[in-house]
Amino acid sequence: MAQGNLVRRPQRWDAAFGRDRIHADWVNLILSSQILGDIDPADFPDDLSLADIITNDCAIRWCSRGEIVYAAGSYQTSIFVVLNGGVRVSDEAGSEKTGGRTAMPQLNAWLSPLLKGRLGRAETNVTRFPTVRLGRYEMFGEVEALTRTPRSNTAVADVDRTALLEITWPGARELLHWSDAFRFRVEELYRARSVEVGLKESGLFANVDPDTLVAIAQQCSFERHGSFDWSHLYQRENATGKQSAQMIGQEPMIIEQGHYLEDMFLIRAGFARITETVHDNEFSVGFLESGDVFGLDEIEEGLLFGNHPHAGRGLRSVGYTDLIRIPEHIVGKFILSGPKRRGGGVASAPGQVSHADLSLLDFVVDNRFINATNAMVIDTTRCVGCDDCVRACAAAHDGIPRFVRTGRTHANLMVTSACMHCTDPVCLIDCPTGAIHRDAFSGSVVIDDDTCIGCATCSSACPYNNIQMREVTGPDGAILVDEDGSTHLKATKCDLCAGHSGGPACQRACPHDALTRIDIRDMDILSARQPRV
Amino acid sequence: MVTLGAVVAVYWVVSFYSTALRDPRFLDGWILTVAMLGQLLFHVRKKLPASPLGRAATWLKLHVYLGYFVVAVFLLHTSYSLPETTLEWALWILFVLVVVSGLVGLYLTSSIPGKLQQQHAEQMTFDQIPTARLNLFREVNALVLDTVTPDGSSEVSDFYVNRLRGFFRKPQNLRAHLRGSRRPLERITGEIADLERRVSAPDRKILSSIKKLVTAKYDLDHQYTVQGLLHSWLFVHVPATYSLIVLSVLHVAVVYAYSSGVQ
Repeated sequence: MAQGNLVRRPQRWDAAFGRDRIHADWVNLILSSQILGDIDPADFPDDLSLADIITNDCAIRWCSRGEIVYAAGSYQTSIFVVLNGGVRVSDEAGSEKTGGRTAMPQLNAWLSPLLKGRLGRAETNVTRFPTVRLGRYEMFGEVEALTRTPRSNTAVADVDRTALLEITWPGARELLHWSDAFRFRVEELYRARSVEVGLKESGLFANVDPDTLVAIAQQCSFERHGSFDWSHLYQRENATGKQSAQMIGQEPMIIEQGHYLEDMFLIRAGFARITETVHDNEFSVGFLESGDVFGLDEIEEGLLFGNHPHAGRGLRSVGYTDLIRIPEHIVGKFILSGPKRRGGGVASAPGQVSHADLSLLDFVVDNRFINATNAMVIDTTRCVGCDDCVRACAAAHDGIPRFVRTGRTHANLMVTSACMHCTDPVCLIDCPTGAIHRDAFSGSVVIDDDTCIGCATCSSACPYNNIQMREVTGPDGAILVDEDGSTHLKATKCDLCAGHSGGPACQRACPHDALTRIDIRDMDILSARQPRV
Repeated sequence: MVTLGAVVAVYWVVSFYSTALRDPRFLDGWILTVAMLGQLLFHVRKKLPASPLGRAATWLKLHVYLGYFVVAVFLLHTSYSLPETTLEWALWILFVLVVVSGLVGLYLTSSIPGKLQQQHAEQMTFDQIPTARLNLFREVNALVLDTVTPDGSSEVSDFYVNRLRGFFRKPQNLRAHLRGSRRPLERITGEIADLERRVSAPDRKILSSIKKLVTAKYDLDHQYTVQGLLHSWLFVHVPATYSLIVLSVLHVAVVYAYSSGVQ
């Protein structure tokens, strides 16, 4: 038995999501009405009742007219249901880049408390764009909750004393898991809204009026390849030490090279790998991410020469891929003749790389590093092993470094075992308390020490093993121990030195410019750091 | 260019200063002292790794360029001549040690990582190497034990005890690694090849595995030696710097105790 201070291990609902737990009257009202649809409390296990989930993982949010519920571009993963009053959701998708990590959403969100009960920036935003009004018992925010992406629109309370049921991600996850009725409702909404929002966000139909766009959306279809829960499958595959060709063979095929191409594909979420097959040897030539299209050139050529278009290359899902199929005739009518295409603004398969970088591409895609928005990459031709980066990390985090200066290497580039702040952070899917989450403003994946219960779910879900569990010590330095003798643990990982000015200390501390934090999807930056032969 | 400009400016100011019948060594001495203290700022930056004091890479560049400036001012201060007193000799030797070790460090840090990367696809951190060495030692021990006959010996185990055990236990052939030579490896693998002709087929298979481990150990020793060299210059540069600072303070005190500063 471990020696240390005996303290009860923190539990999931020690701290409820809202400031106060939802009052029993509200819980009864929610259970007795159709607020959450046809949820049957009997579907839930005894130790995880529906009432408990609502009490602890939901909150009632009262808003004044004009108050921002969430701002476009912010990272916030709750699902909302209107209980009373109404909400206006601004239709900002496609009007400007709302991909997050810009100053404006931060400003919006910062302004929100200042604007409480008043008209201001939020009002300007909502009046600037077309809005959709959502009334009693209508649900919103499910698209971003499911895809872990930044908000594509701004939601603002329409009237005073608007009451919203905010279902946090941990609560939503349980409802989706245990209740078929809730899952069907959310997925139906997701599919319906995802197509329209995706088409708008892509900018492909910028010159199309809203009514026509709705008609176009009805002719497009939504498809999912792979699984949201791809990380465990990947970890198993990865443990077998498979080569690139074998890895490619395991990935779900979206369209095979040479097959008839009926539709153009618009990637909505996740990633896809473009492959080429020569003499039965399939290899990567590029990858696609949200907003990219596949098959445009082939359809254009087909329409030009009156042929049936065929896929010049294959497309496979990497992890999971949500895509929108846009029929050929719509592509011809609205995209190929549209101003963006004519001006060269729409590229087919923009993630393709030169032949010199194909092995680098394999490395990046096979290891799923395409997910990384802030990977720590070390140029081993410059690194002298001084460990200043490790010391800087330790100095910024109470003496304990949050990464290990080792990792997978391709030529002179080493992607170290530091949190990469993924585009799709699968580590936060199953966190029971929501302790691991994305910072609403920066999108960095951070852990709230106060609500982390040390269950290690995030650590085992991270496909890159970049989250460590560390023992918790009390004020006297002694390790905290549970009644059964096991030590208290907390998850720990790189937080990009949140709270410290100047950005990640590791990068600033490197005297030889060997260490950089980069968005790996930018293949140009990555290949520029490789020595040229 | 900035460094060169600064040096020219100092030479001009010092010569101008000397025309006023003042001892120019006081002026260039203080310039040298301030510049040397400026060099210490890089050390301060390294001691505060998480501080928002800018990028260490920028500080290193400043450290290097300021270093060139310090050398030029030092030459001016010493009037391009060798020292006369014991204290001056000590200062001179320490200064040369700091400069030479710094230049060696600059050369090593810019040349070794690239060569290491070319030679070793899988690089290890310096502190991982002892564990990796121990793992290789255990692996080779296990292989050799498989060849031991009931009477307690075998040709392979005898060869291992006499020839390979020491090789696997500690870093070996450090001088050869510094020269970049693979002769010791060729010698050992040659001896294994000789032995392979004399042993049974199963032992031959084991010897083939041992040969791979020998190569792995040789490469590991190479990494150990070269990475050690990469850090070794600091063991001269840092203590010499501290000593130089202490003696410089003493030098300033002595100068002001025995000189008025007038030529």
